[in-house]
Amino acid sequence: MKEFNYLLGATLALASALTMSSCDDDDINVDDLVDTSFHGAILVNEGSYGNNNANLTLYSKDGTVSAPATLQGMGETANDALLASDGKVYVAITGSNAIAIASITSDAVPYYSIVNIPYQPRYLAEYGQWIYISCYGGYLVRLNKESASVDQTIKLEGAYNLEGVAVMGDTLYVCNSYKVDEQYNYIYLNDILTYSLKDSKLGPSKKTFVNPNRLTVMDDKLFVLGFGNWVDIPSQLGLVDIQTGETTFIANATRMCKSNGMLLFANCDYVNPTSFGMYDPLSGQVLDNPLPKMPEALKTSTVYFMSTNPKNGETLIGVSDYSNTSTIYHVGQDGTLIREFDSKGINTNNAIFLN
Amino acid sequence: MEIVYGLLVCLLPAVPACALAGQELNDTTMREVSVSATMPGRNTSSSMPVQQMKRGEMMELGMTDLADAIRRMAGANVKDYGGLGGMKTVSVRNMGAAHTAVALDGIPVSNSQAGQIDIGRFDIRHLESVSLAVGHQEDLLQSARLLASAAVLSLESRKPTFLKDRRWGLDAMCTAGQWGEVSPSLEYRQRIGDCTTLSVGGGFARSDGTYPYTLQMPNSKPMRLKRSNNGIWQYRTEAELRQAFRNRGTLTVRAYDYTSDRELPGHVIFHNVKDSHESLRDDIRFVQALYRQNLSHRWSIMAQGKYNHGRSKYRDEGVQYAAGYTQERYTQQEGSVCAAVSYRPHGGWELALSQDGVLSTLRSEMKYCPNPDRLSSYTALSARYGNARFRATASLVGTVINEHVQRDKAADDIRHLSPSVALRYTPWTGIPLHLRAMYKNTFRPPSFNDLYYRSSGSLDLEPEDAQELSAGITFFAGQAGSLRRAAITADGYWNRVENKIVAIPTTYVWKMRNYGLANMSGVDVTASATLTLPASMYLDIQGAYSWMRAIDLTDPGSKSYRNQLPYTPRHSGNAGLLLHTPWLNVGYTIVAAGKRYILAQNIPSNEVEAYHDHTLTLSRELKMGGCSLSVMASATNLLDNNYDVIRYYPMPGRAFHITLEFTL
Repeated sequence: MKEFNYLLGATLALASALTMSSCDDDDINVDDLVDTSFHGAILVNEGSYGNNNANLTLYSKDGTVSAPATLQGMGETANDALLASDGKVYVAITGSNAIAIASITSDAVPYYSIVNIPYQPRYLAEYGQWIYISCYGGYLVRLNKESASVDQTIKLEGAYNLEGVAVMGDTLYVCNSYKVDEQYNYIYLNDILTYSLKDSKLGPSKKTFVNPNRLTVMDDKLFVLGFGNWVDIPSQLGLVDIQTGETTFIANATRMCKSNGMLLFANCDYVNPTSFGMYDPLSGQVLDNPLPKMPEALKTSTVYFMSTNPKNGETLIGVSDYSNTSTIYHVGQDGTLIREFDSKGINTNNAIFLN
Repeated sequence: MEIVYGLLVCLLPAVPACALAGQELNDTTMREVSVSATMPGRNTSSSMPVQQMKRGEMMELGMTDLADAIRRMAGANVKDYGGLGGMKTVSVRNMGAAHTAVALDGIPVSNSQAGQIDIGRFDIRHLESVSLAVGHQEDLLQSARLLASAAVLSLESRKPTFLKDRRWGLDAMCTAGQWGEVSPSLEYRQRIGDCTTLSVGGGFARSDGTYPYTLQMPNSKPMRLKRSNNGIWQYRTEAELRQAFRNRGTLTVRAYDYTSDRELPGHVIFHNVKDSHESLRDDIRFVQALYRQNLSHRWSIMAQGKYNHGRSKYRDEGVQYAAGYTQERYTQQEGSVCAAVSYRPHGGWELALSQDGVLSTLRSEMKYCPNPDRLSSYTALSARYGNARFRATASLVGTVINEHVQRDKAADDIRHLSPSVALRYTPWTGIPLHLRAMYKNTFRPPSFNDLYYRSSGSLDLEPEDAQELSAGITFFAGQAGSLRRAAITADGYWNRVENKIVAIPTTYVWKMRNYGLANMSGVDVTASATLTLPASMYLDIQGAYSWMRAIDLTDPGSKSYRNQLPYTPRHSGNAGLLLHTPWLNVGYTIVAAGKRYILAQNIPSNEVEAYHDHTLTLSRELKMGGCSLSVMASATNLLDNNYDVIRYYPMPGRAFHITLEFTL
């Protein structure tokens, strides 16, 4: 634990020396900021509905997982988290209408503080001194990192329930996922909204897959996961052409992450075995079975997150049954199992790599 | 030991049939008789475990609602979301609430949409008795639908009573309590002719539900908060006609109208404790009729019919809804008929045939709802043999369920045979010690919500299958010295529920699947006694204890394999004392449950602390000429314990209630 804290502190100090960077929900991998060795990760555990049991747990290099008492019971559904350039971990806690700002340093007991925001937060992206938060109701909330307070609330025209958010350059992209009508019918949308962060103006929206939910930026490319309608439109992964606004279908997928310059994705349709693929953004080719030596158990599990350490290519794959604590598979680049462990939290949905 | 019982039974044939209309007291036809014996109750004489509580006991022990009464019964697991308006369901021996049938005056209460009954709507002040049977009640002349259930909660409404030779009666009652609780009711009874009684009554209940509680979040100081969005407004109107015919037939017709508007507080959310804007309105109306007749000493018949109309409207507000709000409206209708006949050939035999037909419909303006209809047939063939020392009861229930929908695809039809057998053996003649055992196989069909609700509904669901095995011993002692009576029951059981219908996640969307397998084993012990004390005082003592091991056997690879099922305490029990004096009755009860787990995985972070809840009650009945006034004051949760039955649904702390009942 002590070793973990020292390493973590060093990483965060380095990270805080740097300022503006653009992040999407997978940019918690501070791949440009840290050295190459894998020492540990913060696991973000969503919790289960109704139980206020969102928490952060720590996975250290030696394979131990700790659950500091000060990072337990954080609230209702930790939906997203990112490690910001100030070295703090920002966690969107949806049901609690709150952002938890966690400080995990080498020389002190980790702790977090709560900033209540007016709407239910979903996903986070960093831009300059701010954290942009997508919220239900079509709102973007801007949190000032220095003052740890909300300094702007933006109602996006035509927006209903916002989900995944990403920043590329000075433009923010956010999924306008669905709306719920007066009769409790879910109407799935297919918009990615754009918002200029420089002049605070809504740009032209981009039509994409039904129920867009997650965005990932790789260099100058924007990837989207549309979750479909849960009935006859499956979950789809696509590449968004930010110039034309068109989305090119890549594969059916339910999860994605950046992985060694590629995009790793998994598809769990609950009918067929879970499958994995890799998209090469340079060639535009899809590689099937990119983890040939992965544990067999992954084929029959619900993959809830994947996160690759940018420095050594090792990946954490979390599976969930929505009831028990998650199992995490730590695998090498070819899928070889390095370690299997319990996350000590329910519905682990993210891992933040640290040195 | 001198044990005398049965005298009351012997007296019954002397009472003219029409005097049985509503069990009214009629001085012209019934002589005053002093009975100095005590009879064993159904708790100890039944072949299947049955526990019963009567109105007087429930009132004098300060029970505030039906859930409060049922959680004092061994083996009953009540899910109580707190407060007057909080949903309350009953699971018996942890088989699931959908396996517990609820009957009002012998006629099933149903909810085809949800598959389980919220018992919060029944007011114990207007019930004569409450009994909970594992398996079913012993009477063969009953609805086949009840015989098909794993457990039956039977509610008997109050019978009309008349003081002296008055031909009318009036009962006015009002309960008031903290947090805006007021529930007045008025009932008028009229005797029409010698054999007919008519009762008309109604009531209203409201509560703000803004009770204080303590929230302890990790790493912070305890906060004293108040529950919000927790109000309820209930209105009830009912009328009952009882007719006794000279052919020894009795007819009871009841019309019932109930409306409730409830705010739904939801669970307490850390950092956001006042965010709920949900509400639920229920309108339930039914008319039911029950006819019973002993055609001869060999033949008896029973017929019943019911029409139920229920509407519900759920509403929520928030920016996540395009219009700032959303609502779901549903209409359920159900018509049911039942006919049963029993025949006692000779030599202790009794045979019975019961047939139920039920048509249930669900309608909604929701786009997803296919407007399903369900036509169900239940046929039960039962037989009983009994002599002085041995009794055996067996039944076989055949169920056929046909589904139809107005659009899309309907679920497959269901056919199921449910056998049961119950034995009772008395080793020594004259000593009321009985050994009993039962086996029952039942099922519960998927509810409309399980099958059709949005994207979570699944058409290929199979019914849940439940096996029950139980064996026990009962003992009853009558008058002996200062002991008026004593009763003890102890039953061990083993249950298995297969094909459990559970919600399985599919990336953000939950699907109903037949997935679970659970085993329940345990012991239920009950004891009660009445002691005579000096100065015309006597003391009622009762207690119950349950030990239950209910484990998940679904997936050997799961982290919750062989773990205790959620919200199932390993130990639970209660105890109560009721001291009757010529001046005042004093009741004290304790209900306690051991630690439970909120989820299937038995890890410390999923634990819910054990709790104990104490109630003190003082009551007095004053007779004044031709009327009586009962006054009851109670303090519930006397020690002001802060506890949850369901985690983050805090229960009320110490509360004071007073009830006045004026009877003419």
